[in-house]
Amino acid sequence: MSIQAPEATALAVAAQNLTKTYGTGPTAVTALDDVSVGFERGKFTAIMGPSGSGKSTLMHCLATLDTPTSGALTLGGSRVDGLDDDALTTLRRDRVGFVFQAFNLVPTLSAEQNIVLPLELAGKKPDAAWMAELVERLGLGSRLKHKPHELSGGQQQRVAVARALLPRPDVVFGDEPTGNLDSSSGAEVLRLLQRSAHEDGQTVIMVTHDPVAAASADRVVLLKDGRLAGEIIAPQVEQVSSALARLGAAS
Amino acid sequence: MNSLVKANVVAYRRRYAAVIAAITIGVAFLAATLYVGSSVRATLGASVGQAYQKADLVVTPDFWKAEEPPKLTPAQAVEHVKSASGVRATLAYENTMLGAELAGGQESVHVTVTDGDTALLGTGLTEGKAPGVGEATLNSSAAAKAGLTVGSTLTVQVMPEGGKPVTKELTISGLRQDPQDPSSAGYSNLQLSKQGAEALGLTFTPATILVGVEPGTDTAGLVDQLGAFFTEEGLPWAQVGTAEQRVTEQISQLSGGVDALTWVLGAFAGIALVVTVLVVANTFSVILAQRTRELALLRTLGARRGQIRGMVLGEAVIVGIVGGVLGVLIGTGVVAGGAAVVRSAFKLPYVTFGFTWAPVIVGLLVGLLVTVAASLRPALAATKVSPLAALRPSDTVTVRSKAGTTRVVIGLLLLLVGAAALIYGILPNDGGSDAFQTSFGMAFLGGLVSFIGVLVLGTLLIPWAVRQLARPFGAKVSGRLAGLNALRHPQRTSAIGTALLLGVTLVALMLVGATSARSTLNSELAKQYPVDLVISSSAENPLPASLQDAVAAVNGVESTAYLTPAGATPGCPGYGSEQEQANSTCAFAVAGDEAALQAVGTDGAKAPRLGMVAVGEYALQSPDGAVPTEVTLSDGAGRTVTVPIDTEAAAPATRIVMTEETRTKLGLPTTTKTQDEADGYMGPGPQLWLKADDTVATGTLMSEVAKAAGVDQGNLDGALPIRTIASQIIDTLLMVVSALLAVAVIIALIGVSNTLSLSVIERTRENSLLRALGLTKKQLRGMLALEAALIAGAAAVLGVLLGSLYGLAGAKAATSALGGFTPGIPWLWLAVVLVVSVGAAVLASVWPARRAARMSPVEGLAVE
Repeated sequence: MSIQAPEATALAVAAQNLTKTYGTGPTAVTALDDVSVGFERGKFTAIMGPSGSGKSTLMHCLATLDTPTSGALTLGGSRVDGLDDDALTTLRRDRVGFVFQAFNLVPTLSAEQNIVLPLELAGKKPDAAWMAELVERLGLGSRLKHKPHELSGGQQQRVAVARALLPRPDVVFGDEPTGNLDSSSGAEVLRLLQRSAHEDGQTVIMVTHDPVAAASADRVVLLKDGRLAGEIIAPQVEQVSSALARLGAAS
Repeated sequence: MNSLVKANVVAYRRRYAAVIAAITIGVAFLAATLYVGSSVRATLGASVGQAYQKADLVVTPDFWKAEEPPKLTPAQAVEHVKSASGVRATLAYENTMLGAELAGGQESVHVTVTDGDTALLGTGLTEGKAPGVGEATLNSSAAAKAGLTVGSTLTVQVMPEGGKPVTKELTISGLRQDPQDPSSAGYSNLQLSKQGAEALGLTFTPATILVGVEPGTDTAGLVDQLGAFFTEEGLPWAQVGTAEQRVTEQISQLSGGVDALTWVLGAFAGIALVVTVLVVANTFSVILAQRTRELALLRTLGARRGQIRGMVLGEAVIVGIVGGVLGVLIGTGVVAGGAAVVRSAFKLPYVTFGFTWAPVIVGLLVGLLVTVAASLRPALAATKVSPLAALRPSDTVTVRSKAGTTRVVIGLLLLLVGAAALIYGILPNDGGSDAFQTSFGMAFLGGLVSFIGVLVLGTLLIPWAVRQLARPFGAKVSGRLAGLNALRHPQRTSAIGTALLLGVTLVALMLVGATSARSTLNSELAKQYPVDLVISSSAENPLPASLQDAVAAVNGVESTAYLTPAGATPGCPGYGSEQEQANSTCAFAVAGDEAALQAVGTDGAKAPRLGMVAVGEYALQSPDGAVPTEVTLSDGAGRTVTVPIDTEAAAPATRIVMTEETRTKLGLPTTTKTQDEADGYMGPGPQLWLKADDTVATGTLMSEVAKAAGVDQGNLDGALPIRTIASQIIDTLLMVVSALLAVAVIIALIGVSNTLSLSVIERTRENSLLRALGLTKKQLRGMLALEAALIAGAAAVLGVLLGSLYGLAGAKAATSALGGFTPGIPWLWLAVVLVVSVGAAVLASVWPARRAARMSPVEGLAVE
């Protein structure tokens, strides 16, 4: 099954026939099985599926954190499969942003230092106006000098969002970004991701198992047993829940 | 719980490996130290014991101690011992020396004259038979060296009382084993019978009587009975004992030095063990901090605090035992192997490895104690883990710890009191021997106390130094992260830095101290002997100026100067009236080319200025002890001039030295006469001064120079021999001490490496995150290497600075008796210490860094 061909230039990220196998011989596990999927620029997409459906593997492969066993991957219009580690590292640094479930801030650095870290690693200066706007938008003004352990979970995750958005990457990946947050902090983070997609044209791809979180996306891509299992455009919570329930029941 | 302890040690074996390595090295050092002591003792036993090995009792009558000849003659004494009940056989003997000719050339030989059953002699016959009159036995290696066999002849020189030396020929009747007594090593050993010795005209007074007893005899009773007999006969000092008793007595007399050696080595082993405790304690607390969740889980599952503590201590016991066993094995192996190597390489068959259980037991106990003591604090901290900690997210949090106020106060107090004592110790004193001992003692104690203060303050000093060092790297984010990571757990960094600081400070202290002692010694020597070597002329060799080139061409000679006599004080024969000669001291003056004089002087020695002379320390003696400012010189023809003394220039002890320009200016004559010429001239002849470049051994240089100049070696004088001997002693001591201290540094470096690799494990997630955010593998490796370099560098820089200060102070205190002090800093060696410390730490970061870099970001981020 294929949803949107990777050739389309309006796509920020496109995967074609992506397969990922762990191990060899009889113990081999196929986490991704011939997945072809595209993600439009400026859209907020959620990837959903039951546990073990391969949604995290798909995201890791799309984000170049993991290398697929076979298949082609295009990021921001250029082919990235087959690049070596240093090239992938540079690519991630310049063109990919991350928001993790466990926040993953560097504990020795302040909020501000964490936000500018990817740009510093790239040896670039942050865009001061954009930085100011992000800080304003994320309500972090008074917290910039604090160390991560002095921030609440919601604040830490907003710092992580700012870190992902500041370099204006081709795509921001969220790995269960609301998984460790209470519902109001979670909703806040989702609103921020939504807003960056709609107002700033930022492509956002988020893995989640929470139908409420998925419903805030423009589109939901469903995965089961390492294969695509459908999509929902402009999803509602009930739609997503029932689609998930169907996928679960079918197994 | 026991199964858990074992499972934990197995599961965390890689993390514990470095702890075990540190304990192993420390214990190996200790066990080796103890075995060196017991082996030297065993070696002494083997060499001393050989002489008595075939005897049951040993009697030493010591006739010579009697003030008047005792009634008992030596022959009667021997006869009495022989006839005592239970005595099977006796052998009385005396050791003496004779001149002999074995293979060409005259040499001194040891001679053992025996009377009785030669089967009791320690050195058994290997060939032939015991000697009769006109015969002798010879030890086999001497015979082999001289090419003699049974039946060959040799000659001995005997000096009968009041007569002329007589040469006698002896036939070799047999060969004997080589004696292993250190005092006869290197000599040939002859054995003669009493009758044979008397035939040569030698007298025989038995010094020792070896006794063989019948089987089943009451030896103790026989010893008492013989002892009583000698006391009755007026020889109460006579020693009677079993062979074992006598050997033990002799060893204890000889082994006082062994105990001192054991103590000195033990002190170094102690330093290594202190460092081991620091490293082990630190590693344990890091390992336990990383296991917080696991410990909390156990608490959640119902483990009591005591059980957690027991588990941690149980792990420490296992680790301590493993390290101790390995250490004892290695220590034993090193000494046993060393003894075997010395035995075969130097052909010293009596070098014995002295196995005793003490080093094994002490080594195991110390290993265990060190480990358990080091794990006590971490174990207590582990019990404070609350069950809830298992449920919290495991993100490591920067621990902001402040050094306890008490700690800072104690540290500062120790530092200040120690520094005050140290400064008191190096202040000038009146130079008396008591004053020297007091000031050196004060300096030593002060240094020790202040250094303990520094170590106590390590929790402040090390992080401070790391911060300063990290500053220049802050411009780049990976550099800044390295600095922040190095300071993330200030306690860990301090503990490991302190361990390294301890070792590096002591090494730097030894380096700077030894160099300063050497330069002080050299400059003080230069004042008394401004010249390395002086070649004097003699009647046989007038030392013409043409010889200068030949001497200058000798390998190892840096520069030369040719000096000729230039008058003398009127106190010298031929230079003043008889009255002047009687009333004033005589000192001869010599003159040489200024540039040559400047070049030939030892370090710090200067040539006298124009119009002035340099005067040796003992050349002029004024009755009131005042230092003269000028000297009157006579040209030997009735004219005298008075010349000011250049106190900055140096001259050999009894000479007055000037430049050729000064001689011309003063109008003093050039004499080419040499000493002891027929006309009764007593002054010096021409002299050749030379400076050695220290590339050639002193002995070789002196004989080559003497050959080139055509003089006897007795005509050479100067600072060179004493300077090179002092340098050799200092260098050897320095090398040995540095090698011993290096053990402590190695243990500390293991600690640095281990702490770093544990930190890397701890920060797996974080490092993966940085990789996900765009840190390249190379940058990650660089970051970790920099972190290691910062910790090691901070400790090494502090250690080198502190050690240099202590070294200067120590050398100043130790050489205060010499008068002056010339500091010497071995820049190259200090740089080597820095580079090795930092380089080893960087090298130690390679493995953990590679592991961190190899891990894919996804794997790392998945790690809890």
